[in-house]
Amino acid sequence: MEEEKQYVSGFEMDRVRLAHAYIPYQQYTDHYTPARALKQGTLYPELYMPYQPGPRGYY
Amino acid sequence: MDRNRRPGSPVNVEMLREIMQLNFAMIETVLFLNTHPTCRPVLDLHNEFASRFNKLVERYQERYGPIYASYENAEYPWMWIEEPWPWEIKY
Repeated sequence: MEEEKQYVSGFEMDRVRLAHAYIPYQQYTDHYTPARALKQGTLYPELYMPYQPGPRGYY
Repeated sequence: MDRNRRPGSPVNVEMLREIMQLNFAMIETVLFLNTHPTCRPVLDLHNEFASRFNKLVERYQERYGPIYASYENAEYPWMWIEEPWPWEIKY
């Protein structure tokens, strides 16, 4: 019996490499005021990345 | 200072908002410091936010009653149950 392969429709799983996640190390440069931080959801400008509405929805 | 507290007397929303802002900012510095323990600027920031937060909470509780049940100067009678629940406060 063919070896149990994990198929994602239309995707050759055996030729796909596992992902290597890389997260750059955050450097502190500046910070928002507490008022703005609470509103924006982060104290650090480099982490403020709200989803933008795009043609294919939010990304 | 004596507070002639009617049950469910209004809270100070402005002060509560500032307390939330300072608390949020302080926690953000904690999260950063957990991975960057040698970053002095953020450590100084943490101590500043923590200090401002503690002072404001203390001042608030003296005037408006406990935010935390651990407040040691709760006035007679116990008002805790009369206060609006956090989700009832309109910010």
